[in-house]
Amino acid sequence: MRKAAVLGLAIAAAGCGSPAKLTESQEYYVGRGVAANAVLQTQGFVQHEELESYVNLVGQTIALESERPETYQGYHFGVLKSDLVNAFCAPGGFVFVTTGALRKMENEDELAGVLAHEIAHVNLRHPEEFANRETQKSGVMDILAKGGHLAEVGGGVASTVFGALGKPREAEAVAKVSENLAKVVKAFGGVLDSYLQEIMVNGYGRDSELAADALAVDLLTRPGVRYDPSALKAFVSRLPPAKRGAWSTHPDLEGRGENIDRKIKERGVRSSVDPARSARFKAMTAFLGQ
Amino acid sequence: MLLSSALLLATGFLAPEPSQDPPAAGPRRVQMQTAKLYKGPGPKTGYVDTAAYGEHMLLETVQGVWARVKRQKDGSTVFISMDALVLPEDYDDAPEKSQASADVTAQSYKAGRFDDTTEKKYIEEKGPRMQQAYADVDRMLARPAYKKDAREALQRLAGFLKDGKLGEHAPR
Repeated sequence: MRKAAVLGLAIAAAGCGSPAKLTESQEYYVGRGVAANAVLQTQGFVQHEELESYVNLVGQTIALESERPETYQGYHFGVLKSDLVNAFCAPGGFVFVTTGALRKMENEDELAGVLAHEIAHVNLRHPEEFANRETQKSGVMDILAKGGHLAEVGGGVASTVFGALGKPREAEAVAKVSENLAKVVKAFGGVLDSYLQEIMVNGYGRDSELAADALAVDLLTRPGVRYDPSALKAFVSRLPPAKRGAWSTHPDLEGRGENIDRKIKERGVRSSVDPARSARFKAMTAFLGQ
Repeated sequence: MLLSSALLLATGFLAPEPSQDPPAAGPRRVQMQTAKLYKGPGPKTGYVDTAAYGEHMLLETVQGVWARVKRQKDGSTVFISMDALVLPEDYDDAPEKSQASADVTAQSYKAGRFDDTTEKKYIEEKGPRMQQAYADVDRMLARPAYKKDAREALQRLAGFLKDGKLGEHAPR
């Protein structure tokens, strides 16, 4: 009896109160899915180990000093071949920048600024919030939250697990599992489609983008980092309006530069672009051409 | 026999009230999602590790809201909060189980989550191009730049910071 009560409590906990959320491992799988779809929408990864290693070092320098220095499977910074000037992140700490964006950058500090902006999104859990919202909309959160079959079959499956119901009910449970799998896979695809259509094109919305800029300035100027935060503004300002919309997620951000400036003043930290950093950035990206 | 032990499912997001009537001591099999493990009954005793989803452990005793468990992978004894544990309905009086039943369990849990089973099915439905794209992602994650070797990564990062006059090497 008491066992039934405990199971009941578990189901009740998932069914009411604060909404259930994806676990970090599930968010990681959404991130992998976004990454795979991004590969299909571009010409794939740049396949240049030195450049990838370099971009990872710049990203890790910033991520390790952030409030979220580690994700479920760690941060991964990838370079995608595309002429579009874009950078984006996905749940679980995946961060991507295009070769088009790298060509537009003049130095390492600008790259750091763009990556810091994306790391800020990860710190603020914008990708995860989006994935959770979309999963809620898909109607499968209950299945995900209750370990699949428990939500639908409840004690029946528990009994099946322990062999008490016999083969007919076991077959029923297996059928239910297959049905749930189909629902979950459909929802998974839906979340990925939404992510690609909304986040990679329109971003997280003005408030979230400005918040990510502000946190990026903060991250760039931390004692363990010390990149020049004004490089972020320089990069954004250099983009023509149409292209600005195509770091695509950052449309319509009039006042973005002022927001960055204000944050730099608040931080009261002065840094400058170091020639050594600029030199290594140019060496790493030279093969991309202009 | 492992299959004859009761199953406990710990969930990160599914947090039932702590049981006022904890299970009796004795070997039990535990299946859990990511959960923090401590040296003793409480965080102040010292963090030991984080258990991965699906890791199996033997429940030894229950001390209040804390369960002492033995990890199957290395035999170490650690503590985990009972808050996250969900007990199946027939926890105490489970009869002997068949392998078939155990397979149902594994399949059931896997079918209800965004995980490798879901990913595999999604790739299958999308076809060869998606399969190739995932292979590219896996190749990316397998490259040295993405490996999670903390010591090597920190060594490389130290040199990177110095060369770039970053962090403590930045001019004041």
